[in-house]
Amino acid sequence: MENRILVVDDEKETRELLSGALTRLSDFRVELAEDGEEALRRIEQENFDLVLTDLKIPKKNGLQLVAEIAKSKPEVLTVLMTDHETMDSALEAMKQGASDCLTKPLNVEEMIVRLQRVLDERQRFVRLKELAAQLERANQEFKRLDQMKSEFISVASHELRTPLATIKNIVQLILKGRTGEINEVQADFLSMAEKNTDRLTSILNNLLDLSRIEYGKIDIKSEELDLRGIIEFILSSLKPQAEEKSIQLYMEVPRELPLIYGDRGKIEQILTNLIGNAIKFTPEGGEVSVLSKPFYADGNMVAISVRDSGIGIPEDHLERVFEKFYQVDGSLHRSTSGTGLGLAITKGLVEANDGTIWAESHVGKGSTFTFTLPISKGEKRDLRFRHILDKAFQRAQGNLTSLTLFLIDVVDEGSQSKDALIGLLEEKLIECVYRKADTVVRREKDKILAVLCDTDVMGAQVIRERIEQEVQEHFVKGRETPPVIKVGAATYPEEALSKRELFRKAKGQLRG
Amino acid sequence: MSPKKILVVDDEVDLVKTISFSLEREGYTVLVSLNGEDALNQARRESPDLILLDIMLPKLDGYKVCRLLKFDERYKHIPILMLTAKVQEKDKALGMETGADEYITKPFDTDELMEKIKSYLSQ
Repeated sequence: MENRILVVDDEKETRELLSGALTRLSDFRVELAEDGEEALRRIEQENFDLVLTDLKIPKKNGLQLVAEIAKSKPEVLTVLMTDHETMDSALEAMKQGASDCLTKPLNVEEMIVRLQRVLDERQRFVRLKELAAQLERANQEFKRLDQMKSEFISVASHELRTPLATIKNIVQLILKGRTGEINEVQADFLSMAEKNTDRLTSILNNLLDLSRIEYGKIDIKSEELDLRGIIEFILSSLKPQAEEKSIQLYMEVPRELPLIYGDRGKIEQILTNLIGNAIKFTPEGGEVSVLSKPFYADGNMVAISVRDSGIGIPEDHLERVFEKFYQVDGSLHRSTSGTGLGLAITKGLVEANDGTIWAESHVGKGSTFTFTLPISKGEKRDLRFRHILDKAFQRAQGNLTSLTLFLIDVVDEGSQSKDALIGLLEEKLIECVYRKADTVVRREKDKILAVLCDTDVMGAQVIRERIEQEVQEHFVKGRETPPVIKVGAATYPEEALSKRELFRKAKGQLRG
Repeated sequence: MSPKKILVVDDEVDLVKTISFSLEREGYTVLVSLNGEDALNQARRESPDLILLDIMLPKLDGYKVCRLLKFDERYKHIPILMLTAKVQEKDKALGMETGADEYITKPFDTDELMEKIKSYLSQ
């Protein structure tokens, strides 16, 4: 394509020289202008690809010309010609939008190469912008279609439900003998019909779930949850299914597992899907275990694994099992009761709860599906509690010094909330044990205060008296129903040798 | 004791037929409406003992029928069981807000439905 260039220079000689050289040595089409105003006028009326202007031209200088073109016709490229003495202007011109600057005296061949380069670059840029726009349009269209698909599924599932209801009703009426006696074969066939309407219903439910997940319309109502209780509940509800195949169910979930933050119903659905799958794909007499533990590799999470002793999944299928309608062996025999959507939904639900899910497997030995859920914020604060205790203990061990842990709990029969009392107590403790104390820290889970002091049993006794005195003065004196404040303490290494023992001993004194 | 009267409201004629069949077998008197407006008129005229109500209905949707009856001192005692293909939680919440006593999604188990009806009528 031929490029049109406007050369602006007030010296007739230069103009003609440039025009001649450019026309002779390249296939540019060259036009000439004498001053800034003429140049602007022509740019306005004609289509130029590039303006090559001298810095010193009458009626507006080159810099102004560059700036005005950049503003009014940004698609037109500008290149400025300067002398050595006006190099500063070159920089300024580039800032104003010039694509390049050439220094006089000009080397015509170099000039042509550089003009060509500027034009090529623009060409590439324009093409890139076109491609980006195309991509954006395609993406918009894709989003629109995806949304249409989800809406379609939602409408279709609704429309299919009503005829299904009618069919199910009729089948049940005949099956139960309400329309007259039926024979054994008829009863058998009608139960099959009933079972299959139920299966169709569950496919519809799954499709609807999935379309809501993909459409981003899933409602998540998160709260602090005790995972152990939920796992126990789901395991007991799936027990009959496991017993049918003589499959043993095991649970390995530590009692002190941190609380998690998520949507109870969705987490129950995730567990039901995974454990149900594990039972389905484990042969008679096998076992299925649910394990859970904190998982810090990916932030503050809890990992839950469902492990089966089933047929396993070949390595190259592991990623794809979470795809919709994906069947490992491509046949239908595994999916007699499945819809091929369970794992896709499960993955969607895990991600909606800010977790991740993955699968590991050994063919012939079994598979493990693991997902993570975030630890609740309250628990995250308790991680600080644990962290502080860890650090203090390590320091005491390393320095061969003593460490005393006080735990303080408040029981109030009166009207004040425990939160408020603990808050007040925390302030007072910071004041009264300040000199000796490393830290006063609150545990959110059960709202107890911990005070860590680098002191031995003797010192601990003094601090204990001080704490009790403080409590007496601020919380007991002059109150009709004073709160009961209990103090437990243990000292390393005199009374306890491990961190766990230290905590247990101090905690033990809070009871009773 | 005269038989209890149940109003069945659904625009799916076949479904109405099968539900009516089961209800009549149980000894109830069955009234049928195929649209919301007629349902409202029949409910006001006949004062049935219980109403089975679909949501997506011609002329007047089930939510409105339910609201109009439940906000009327004369009819608010009539139990309304919504029978619907709408399965989303927000639909259910909306159904409960209008004062429906039960929200049952299609397809449903006939025997369970009969049990539910019986328990509402014996209250």
